[in-house]
Formats: sequence, C-alpha cells, structure tokens
Amino acid sequence: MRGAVVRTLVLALWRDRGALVMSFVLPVVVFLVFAAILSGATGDELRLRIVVANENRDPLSARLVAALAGDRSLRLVAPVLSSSSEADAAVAAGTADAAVVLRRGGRPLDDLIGDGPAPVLVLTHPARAVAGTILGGAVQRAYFAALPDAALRGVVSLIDSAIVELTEAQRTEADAALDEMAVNVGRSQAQGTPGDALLSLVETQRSAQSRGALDQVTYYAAAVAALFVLLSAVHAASSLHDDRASGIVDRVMAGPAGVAALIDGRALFLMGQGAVQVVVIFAVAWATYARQWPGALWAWGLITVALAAASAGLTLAVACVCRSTRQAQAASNVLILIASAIGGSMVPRYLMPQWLQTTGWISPNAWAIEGYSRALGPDPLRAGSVLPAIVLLAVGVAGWLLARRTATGWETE
Amino acid sequence: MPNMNDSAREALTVKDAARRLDGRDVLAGTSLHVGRGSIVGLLGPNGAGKTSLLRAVAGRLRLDAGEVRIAGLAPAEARRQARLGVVPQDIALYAHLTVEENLAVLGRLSGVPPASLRARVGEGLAWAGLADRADAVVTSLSGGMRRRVNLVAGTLHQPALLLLDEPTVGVDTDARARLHALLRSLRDAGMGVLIATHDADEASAVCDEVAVMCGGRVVIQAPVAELVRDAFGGERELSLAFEQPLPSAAALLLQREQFRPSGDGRWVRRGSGLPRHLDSLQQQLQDAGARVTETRVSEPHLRGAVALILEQHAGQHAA
Repeated sequence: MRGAVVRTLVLALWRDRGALVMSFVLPVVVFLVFAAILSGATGDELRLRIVVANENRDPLSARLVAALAGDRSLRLVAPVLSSSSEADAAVAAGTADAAVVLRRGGRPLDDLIGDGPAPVLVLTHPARAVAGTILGGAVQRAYFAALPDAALRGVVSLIDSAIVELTEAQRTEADAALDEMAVNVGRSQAQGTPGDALLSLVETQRSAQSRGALDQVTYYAAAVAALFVLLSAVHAASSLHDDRASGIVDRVMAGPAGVAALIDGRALFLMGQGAVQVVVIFAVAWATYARQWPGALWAWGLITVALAAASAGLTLAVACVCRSTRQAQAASNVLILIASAIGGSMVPRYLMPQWLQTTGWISPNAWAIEGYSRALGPDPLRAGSVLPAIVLLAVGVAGWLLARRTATGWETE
Repeated sequence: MPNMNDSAREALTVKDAARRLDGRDVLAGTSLHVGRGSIVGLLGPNGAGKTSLLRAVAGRLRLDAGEVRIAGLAPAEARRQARLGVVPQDIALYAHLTVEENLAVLGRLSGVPPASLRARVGEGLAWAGLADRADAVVTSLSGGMRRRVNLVAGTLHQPALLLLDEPTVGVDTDARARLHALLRSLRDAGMGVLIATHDADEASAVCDEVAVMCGGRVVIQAPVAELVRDAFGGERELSLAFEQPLPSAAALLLQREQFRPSGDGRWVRRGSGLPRHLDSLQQQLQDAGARVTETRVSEPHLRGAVALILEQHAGQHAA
C-alpha cells in the first residue's frame, strides 16, 4: 500500500516538469552560483579590491606600493592616488573594498620607535569591515617581504637607543649593510627571487587530519544539498492537505490502509527524492570542479540517507501539525530558511558569532554539513561521522512519528 | 461487479447512536439500517446530522452511546476487512494520474490484493463504461466521467456497504442517469448503498428507501412510495404562483382557504380533490390585488413528503 503512494508521488513529480526543474536543476544552478561566489569570498581565491594613496612619494613608500601591487591576494582597481581623501571616496563609493594610505605626517617606514601616527593607514567600509583586517595583514606581509632593510633599520635604531648603544663605527657599518640589502632586495625582486626578504614567521598548511575533507566547493555542495533537500520536501509533504481537501484521505481512511499509509508512502518518497538530489548535486560538484571522489562512499551514503530521512520527517511533521497546504508551506519555508541560515547553508558557520554557531546545532543543515565534513575525511569512522547520521536519523524518525500520530488523530473525532 | 459473500443480512445497522459535540447533540440516539441489495437515501436539511451519521458509520466519529455494525462488524474491524467503501462528494482522485492509475492506487489503498488489482481495475473500467478512457488523465474527463471514476474507486474492493455523499452534484441529467444505473447495478449485486443527499428528486429516482433526518435523529425510514403515501394519503397538491409582492389581503384569503406558503414564493394546498370554487377563488384573489402567474396540480412526491415530515417534526419540537 505504501508502494502505491510512492508510485503516485513519483508519477506526479515526473509529470510536473516545473517541479522536476525545481527539485533537480535549480539546486545545481544555485550550488554552482554559491560555489563560484562564496569560494572566492572565503577561500583561497580571495582577491580584495583595493586602492593605494601615496602621500609621501619617497623611495620606501614607492617600494611598499610596488609590493602591494604585486600581492596576489590584492587587486589595485585604480592607479596610485595622491591623497587619502581620494582613497576614502573610493571606499565609500564601493569602488574598492578597502584602501591603503601611506600618509603624510606619519612615522617613517623605517622608524619603529619614534613618536607620531603609524606610517600606513587602512581605510575600511562598515559593510566590509573584514576587508580591513585582511588588508592590514597583507600590508605587514608586504612590508617584511619588500622592505626588510627598512624593518632592520628600525630594529637597529631600537637596539641602539633602548638596549645597547652602538659605536659610531658600528652604526656606519650597519647603515652600509642595510643600504646594500636594499639594493639586493630591489634586484632580487626584479628577478622574482626571495633575495634578502625577511622570511615569514608563518606557513599555512591544511591540517593533516582534514586532508580529503570538505574544501570550499564540497562544503557548498553539502550546504546547498541540505537546503534543497528540505525545501523540495515541503511540496510533497504539504500535499497531504490537498488529499484531505479532495476527499482522498476520507476514502483511504475508510479502508485498511488508513492515513498512516499516506504518511509512510510520503516519507519513503521524500527519502528517495532527497537522496537523488544529493547525488545529483555532489556529482555536479565533483565533475565540475574535478574534485576527487570520496574514499569512503559508505559514510557519504549514510549521511545522505540520514539527511533525506530528517527532511522527510521534519516536513511531514510540520505539514501534519498545520491545518492547510498554504499554512504548511509557509511555516515550512520559514523554518527551513532559518535552519539553513543558522545551520551554515548560506554562510559558513565559522563566520558567525559564537552564540549563533552554538544555536546552529539545532539545525539539521549544521548536522548534515558536519556529517559530510567528517564522512569525506580519510577515516570517517574515527572522525565520528556516525554521530551526525544518528542525530539526523533520530530527527527524521521523531518527525515521522509525530506526523503519523497527528494524522491518525484526524481519523476519529 | 460486487461480490458479496459474507453472511450478515444487513449491510448497516445503526442503533441508538448518540454523540454530543461542542454542546450540541449531533446525533441524538438515532437508528438506521441498510439491507443488503438496497439503496437508502439519507435526507434532511443542513445541520440535521447526515454528515455526522456518515462519519459515525465510517468510524470517524466516536459515539457516546449506541452502536454501528457494518456487515455485522464494528466500524474499525469493517475497515480492516475492507467491508466499507466511501465515495466523497468531491472528486477524490489524483488529478495528474490517468483513470487506470487512479483506480490502481486507490484500489490498492482500499485493500484490493496486488494479485487481483489489475483484474479488478479492468472490471471496474468496463462496468462504468470507461475502458476506452483508461489512459486519459483525470483532468481531461467530463464532470460525469469523473463522477463515474469517483464511484468505481469506492467499489473496487467490493465492500458490503457503500457510503456516498451527494454523488451526482454538478452533473447533467444524462450523467446523473448513468450514475443512477451504476448504483442500481451495485444494489442488484447485493451491496448496501447509503446516499446522503439534499436532493429529494434524486433520492426518489434511485433509492429504495429513504431516511429523513432532523435534529440528529432519523425521524422516519421507509420505502419511498410508502413514505409519500403515508404523508399525503390520496391527496394531490395544488400550488399557485403569484406576481410579487403578494398583497396582505390576498395572503389572508389564501390562509383562510388552507393554503400555506411553500418557501419558493408559491402557496400550496393538499387535498383529495381540487377546490370546487377554484375559479371564484382566483377571481377573489384578483380582486384582492394578486395576479396568479401559474396554477399547478401535482401528484404527491417525495420532496413534498419530506417537507411535510420536517414541518410536522418542527411543529412537534416547537410544541
């Protein structure tokens, strides 16, 4: 009997081309858009749009500007400006995400201990505040890479004045060495070699434990899959009210199947639909971005089934608690959008405030994304990918039981 | 088409069924029976309790007192054994499926075993004259055809009792006649059929018996002819229609002559013969400012009988 309900829903979906597109094409399109936009915004391909204003026009400033222009994480969107007000206008207008001003009246670039304001000013926009933080780091990096002589000259001055007073001969020797360093740095930069650049203190490396886990593209495949598996389930779940209005539920309730068959059949259909959606989205993700297929397909499959079960149970429960199709669809859509927002389907959760990250665990999206993250790692079992699957399955079963209990309550008044 | 093989003689027995809901007796200790191979019409005004009684029979309304038996079984057991069929007032079909697909799905949900499903669907299509439309999507059918599919879907599992709610609402005369023929064939095959309807003419055309409900109770259940005869005796009905508004002097004159307003603008009088002074009455009415637009003499019919019964019952309640 449940099979008959599944068949009905499959035929309904197959014959409704609009619903097919909404269920299987739209998620892929949204994933591709999300992956393209958001992997650039939060991943390795980030390139901030900046402007640089050089109010000093001295050799050190020019070298720093050249270093910033060569930084691959930055993109100068205008020729070097001559005043901070021009830079300010560019940031305010949105032409640039942030601006660097080598300001007049600031300390020299090779003075680490003198009075006066910092030699470099970063201008940010309130809506893009994070760009300022990123740009500040890029300036520091460029400074130490391109102006090591200036940095060391500041250090020498610091030692001379605050730690050990140098002799005149030592000062002369140091100046000469640093002048030579400046020449060498300029030469090596022209040749594209590190030369005398100060070595970075920092090396960034992907954690060994997370190798093979979600990169940005796969993250958004999981995020979009969780969002659309839930959204697509709303239609079939809330169509239960259409069956009530038409009298089909009355007809079925008079027979041995009862309304439970309609709930169970829908749950099975929604699980199948959700699983197929996830397969399509991940297949497109892996094919389009040439990602390696996961080693442990069983773990990925487990999370997929659990996600589909959770979406089926939740949407059926909401549908049964509501009194009409319209009410069920509105309530489900609002809940899904909230769950998707706080669960990381729209913006990665690590970018959210701590309290929202904690709250996000009430969202099935968060568990699904976490589940895929663990499942796609090198050792899904040790990574604990079973826990998110258990949580999602428990949510699905709870929703399904609530839906069954509510709907069987319709049978007898 | 139906295949009756269980032993209970009555398809439905309702005995002293009572239910109080929201401070109102929706069923007030009512009784009803539907025999095997009979069609019973359930008539009554809105709020009389027809829907509540159907829901109680279908096991959808718990009773405070009394009992319901379908082919000798309690409603829940009758549902489990697929002894009950329901044909809702609306077209309770999946709009995007074909006729055959609908019957297959709804037949399965009604308890038809998978092994015999295809054969039953084929029989049902042939029985309803829909074999050539088996592959048509339901939305492409005429209203009458949809009603027939709606009916077949309720009978595929060959129930002992079939409940129908306004089964011919919104269909034309020909389609109604076909549906009535199908209902009669179900009766002839031994199925008990209970039809809730507002339409006394329909009940008169297709039902063997009629049960009239009022105030949550079946106040009378009898064969149609018997019910009409008991209500009217050998009387006929004279009805006069007037140009409106009717002057009060004319209304007084009609009341004195034992006419009663029928509710549709007519004034009606029942009796074994016509008033001998009909011509002079019409003249007096004309003198009183009333113009008769139609004079009709009709044999007693179910609609009038039901109206009379309900009127008498309302009078008893008022007293």
